[in-house]
Amino acid sequence: MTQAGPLTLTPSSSLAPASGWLAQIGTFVLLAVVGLLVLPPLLYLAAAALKAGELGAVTIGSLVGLAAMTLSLATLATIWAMLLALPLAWLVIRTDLPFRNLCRWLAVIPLAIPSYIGAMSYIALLGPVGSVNTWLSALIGAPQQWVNIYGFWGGVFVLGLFTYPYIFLLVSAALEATNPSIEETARSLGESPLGVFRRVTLPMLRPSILAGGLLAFLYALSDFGSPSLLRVQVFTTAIYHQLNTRFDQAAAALLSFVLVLITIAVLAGQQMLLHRRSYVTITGTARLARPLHLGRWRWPAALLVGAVLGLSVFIPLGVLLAQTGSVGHFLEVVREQGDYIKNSLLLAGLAATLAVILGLLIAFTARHTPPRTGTLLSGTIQIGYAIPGTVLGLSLILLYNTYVPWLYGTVGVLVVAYLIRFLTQSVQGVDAAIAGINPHLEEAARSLAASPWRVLRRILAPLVRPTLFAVWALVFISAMKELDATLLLRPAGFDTLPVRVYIHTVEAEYARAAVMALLLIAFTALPWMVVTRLREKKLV
Amino acid sequence: MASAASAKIKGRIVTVVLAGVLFAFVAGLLPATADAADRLVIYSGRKEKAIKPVVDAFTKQTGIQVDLKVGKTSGLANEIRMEKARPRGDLYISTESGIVEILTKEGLLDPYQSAATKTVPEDFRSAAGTWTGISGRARIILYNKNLVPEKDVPRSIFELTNPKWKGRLAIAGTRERTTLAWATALVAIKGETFARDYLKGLHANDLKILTDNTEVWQGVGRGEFAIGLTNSPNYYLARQANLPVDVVYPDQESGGFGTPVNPNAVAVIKGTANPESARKFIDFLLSPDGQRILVTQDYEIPLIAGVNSSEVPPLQSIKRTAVTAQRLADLEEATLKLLTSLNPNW
Amino acid sequence: MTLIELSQISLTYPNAAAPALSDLTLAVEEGAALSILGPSGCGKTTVLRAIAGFERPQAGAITIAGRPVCDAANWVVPEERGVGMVFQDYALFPHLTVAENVAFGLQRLEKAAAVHMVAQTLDLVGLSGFEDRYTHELSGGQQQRVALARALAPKPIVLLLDEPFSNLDPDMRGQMREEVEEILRLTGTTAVLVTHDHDEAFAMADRVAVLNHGRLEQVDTPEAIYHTPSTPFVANFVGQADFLLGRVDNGKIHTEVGIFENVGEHPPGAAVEIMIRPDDVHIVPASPGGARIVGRQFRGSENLYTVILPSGQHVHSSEGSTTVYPIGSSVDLKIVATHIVTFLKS
Repeated sequence: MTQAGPLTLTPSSSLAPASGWLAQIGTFVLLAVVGLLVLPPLLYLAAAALKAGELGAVTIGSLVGLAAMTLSLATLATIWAMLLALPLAWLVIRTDLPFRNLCRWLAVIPLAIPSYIGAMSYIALLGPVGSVNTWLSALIGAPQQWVNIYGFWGGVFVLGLFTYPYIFLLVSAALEATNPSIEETARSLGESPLGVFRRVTLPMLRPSILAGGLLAFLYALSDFGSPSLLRVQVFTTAIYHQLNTRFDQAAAALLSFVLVLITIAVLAGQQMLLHRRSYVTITGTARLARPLHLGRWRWPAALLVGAVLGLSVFIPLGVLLAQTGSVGHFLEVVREQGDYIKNSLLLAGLAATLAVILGLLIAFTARHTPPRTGTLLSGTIQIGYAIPGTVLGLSLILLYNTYVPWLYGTVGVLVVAYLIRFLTQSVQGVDAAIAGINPHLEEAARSLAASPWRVLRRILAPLVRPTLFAVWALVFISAMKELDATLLLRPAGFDTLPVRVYIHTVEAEYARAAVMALLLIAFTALPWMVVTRLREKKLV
Repeated sequence: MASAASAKIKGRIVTVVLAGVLFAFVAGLLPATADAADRLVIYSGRKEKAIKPVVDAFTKQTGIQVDLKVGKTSGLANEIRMEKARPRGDLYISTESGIVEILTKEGLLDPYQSAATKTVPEDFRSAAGTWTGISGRARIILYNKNLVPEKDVPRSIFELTNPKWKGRLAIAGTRERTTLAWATALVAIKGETFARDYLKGLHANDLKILTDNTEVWQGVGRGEFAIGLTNSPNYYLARQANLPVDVVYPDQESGGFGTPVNPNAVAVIKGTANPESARKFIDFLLSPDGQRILVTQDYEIPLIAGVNSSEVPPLQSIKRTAVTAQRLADLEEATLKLLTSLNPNW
Repeated sequence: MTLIELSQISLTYPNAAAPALSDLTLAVEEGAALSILGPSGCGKTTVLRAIAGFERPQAGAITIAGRPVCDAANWVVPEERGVGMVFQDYALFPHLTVAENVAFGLQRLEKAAAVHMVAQTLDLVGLSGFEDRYTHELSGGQQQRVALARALAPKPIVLLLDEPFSNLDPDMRGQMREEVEEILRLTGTTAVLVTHDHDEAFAMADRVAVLNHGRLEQVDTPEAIYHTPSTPFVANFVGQADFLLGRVDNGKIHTEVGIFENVGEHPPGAAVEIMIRPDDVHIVPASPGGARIVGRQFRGSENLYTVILPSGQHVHSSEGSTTVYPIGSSVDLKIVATHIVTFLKS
């Protein structure tokens, strides 16, 4: 499952403590590694922020204004995402909508389209002199701006559109797994389908809706690419602006620190709200609810689904294809930018591999530590995910340049940044998989004199191998798409695909940007769809 | 059964493959990370489209490989400051001169006088020899021909406070250093009070502050704005895109403010690992071949006499705003404060 | 020699209201089979897991082969205890073959020795030739044998079995019990067997320990448990039991059905209960006015009659399957008990 909700590592079911001194040391080392990975950047950032002294361009007023803008953008985008996701999920899972399996599969694709690419495509379509305006103006005969995607509402629109799959995935999983007899009972008592949805289904779905909503909210809070392109003034764009015009990083550090505080507050709220694991456990009923017959509502429903999918998948892809031009041009750009493609693939592959290995070690170790240590570990890792990429880039620059200069400015820093950001995905996936293994297997192995390492190597790791592949794919995808931190940390000459998209967009080379964007989508969407398919079949 | 044995072999194969893959990743990335001492690292505030042709030509001529990092001039200057202890960059190309003066003051640049440097006018190179202008860009008024009739075309930037321009003006924010340099020039020549009033007047006309100059010329070209305050090459870029625009080099009358011309400056970063290659690149930039690319492909104004400027008006034909780079450097901070006090979007 | 010793073990699970084990003291002799018997939730599996090292008691001590593995000063991890375990769900490793499963605990051995041991153990459980099969290809009974073989192969100090037969079909159970008992006897393995089925406990164990809510009620041979239970709970748990109310008078216990010896030496006038089993109660047809048959259960090998006494109390009688006393018949009851078991009425 995608980064679904608060990460709570499963403690081992037995009361017995970590076995032996070796495991204790191992735990300590692991904690140290994770701690050193995630915490110093934050601490250094805090120190830099506090040193800010004179705020310069950042006043309390502007800070409050930024906060208001950022939070309202994130909130409204999340609401929009919920409006998109809920009907879609319900129609796809609980009704006899035609092609619903295909729709379900398509609904996930927007996750493979980074928001900045989505923003770019909508600017080309709905920008002040985008296709729509040009066409309408030609029709009417007078140059006029009918639509303008730039600005706050454009930001809400685009962010919600490309984060609704988070909510969709969780809600559709919940719909699938919940016991249908409650709803069927309500139906038999005379409640209309809509009433059932409102009074029975919706309350049941609340945890998933909230969990997905929080994911979308966090994404909108920390995104840089699309607000930057759509000209919305939020924390991330302000931080970037400060970095690029001021010599003193203090203001940027201060803004970053405030953003991190907000993020942690949201995360804390998430933990409190959903302190149980938020991915749905199968109730055990093998029976699925009987699909609701849509009848004459078939076409309106299909229209709705088509609209959502059109907005989030077909229009952006269509715009990108249109801007690319010909296949010949596509190939030409590919040849020209071959090095960058290679960079992206290698970097993402390395990050994914390391993340899987670390994730396995961490998830396994956490099961054998006292619960408090496990919580500490999971909290630390999750902070890494929650730190906005721009902030992470800044703090790594500050920290590594001072203390780890041999790493600074190399690809190594990028790998570190990716690990900090995406370790959560790995740990969470592996932990869930290990938790799904019969605990008796581990105990049986131990009763056969197997050390914890042997248990991991010979029993747990092989059994979760399918999940390891899935997790690898997920981290690979995330790393491929990463823009915010990469923009700041990349060594000279080492650009990745997202960076190329950004640079070409900023330099108004839309055709090249489109080619890079399509390539990026191809490298991320394809593994994504494969993994999703396999997960559906419960193979991973 | 055979399955057990084959499963074991399969498992072994998977492990070997995984190990191999990991190794391949690391190995594949090593060339990218290896501190190849013969690669020249250039930090360019000039956009990639403009600088890459020169870089490619240089590589072709000298065989020296270049790692290009493109970004915002200020951002790159920040990087140079941060990397002080262990410089990663060899060369710095900025979009105006104030910044390199500041870097000179901070002792972050190494002086280098190419043979061709003397051919660059004095006010476009550093007295200390730490930076050299390679080409220039003028601060022009770009206007949309369809929206601005001939009679209304403003000849001075100070006309733009006229209410008739309300809601029709655009400029890039100070992320573009050329904007900052322009405003600083205002303060330097006209004094802070005048500058403040003038800028207030522009804001009263709802001056739209955009993120960069590309948005400005695209916005003007496509009719979102009537007037854009931007740099001269953008006029040619807009023309190239078949946009209905025209250009004015403002305040050309005698005694007038003049048109500020910002040099793109090149400087050697102190502590560079590649001083030889760095110097060769500067030589190339100032050579006829390099200059030709800058001028013909990038529509920049040649600073060196004798370079054929084709479409671009020659330097001598423009009445330039009389402000020195040092002055720009000195007044920059105050100007920035002034701008942001008027509007946070600067 | 006492192989396993538990002294005063107390264990409470976190967030539990009541302790899982209270002050439990138990010993297992070498070569013997001990069965821990009790209803679900009584703590019997907890005892097993405590011995294995998967649960840690808050108080008490455990010694295995004279070595303290659990007390205030010591804690030995499960993998170092030398304790083999057969789980209720077998817990076979699904990704390994039968041979690999069995060989899993033999890592200290040389490859050849391990292979030999695997072959030997598989032969012992009657699964020779199954080496390369995967566990999902096996039937329930075969899986159990693999689980047994796997636990036995490393020659553990003691073998723990957690409800090993509950997952089998009832008709398989009897056969498997016999086979496992044979294997344990052949190998001289000390075993602790947890079950809720008293038939199983009686069949397989030399001694039976009855647990109730974490407390040890009685440890004895199966016969003693059955014939001389020390508490009403034990009496009820291991077989059908009725309790006749009686009163001590003149050194004897007077009941509705007859007069019995005051075996428990209860004080005069005390109210006591005499435990009788259906096989102790014989039915004699009599004239109406006394006891009456109110129910009959045909059980294949016997008829179980429910008889109501004049006082209203119900007792049960087990008679041969061929004679059938109709329901409603008036009868007299004759108690012929080999052991008189009395309890003070609480």
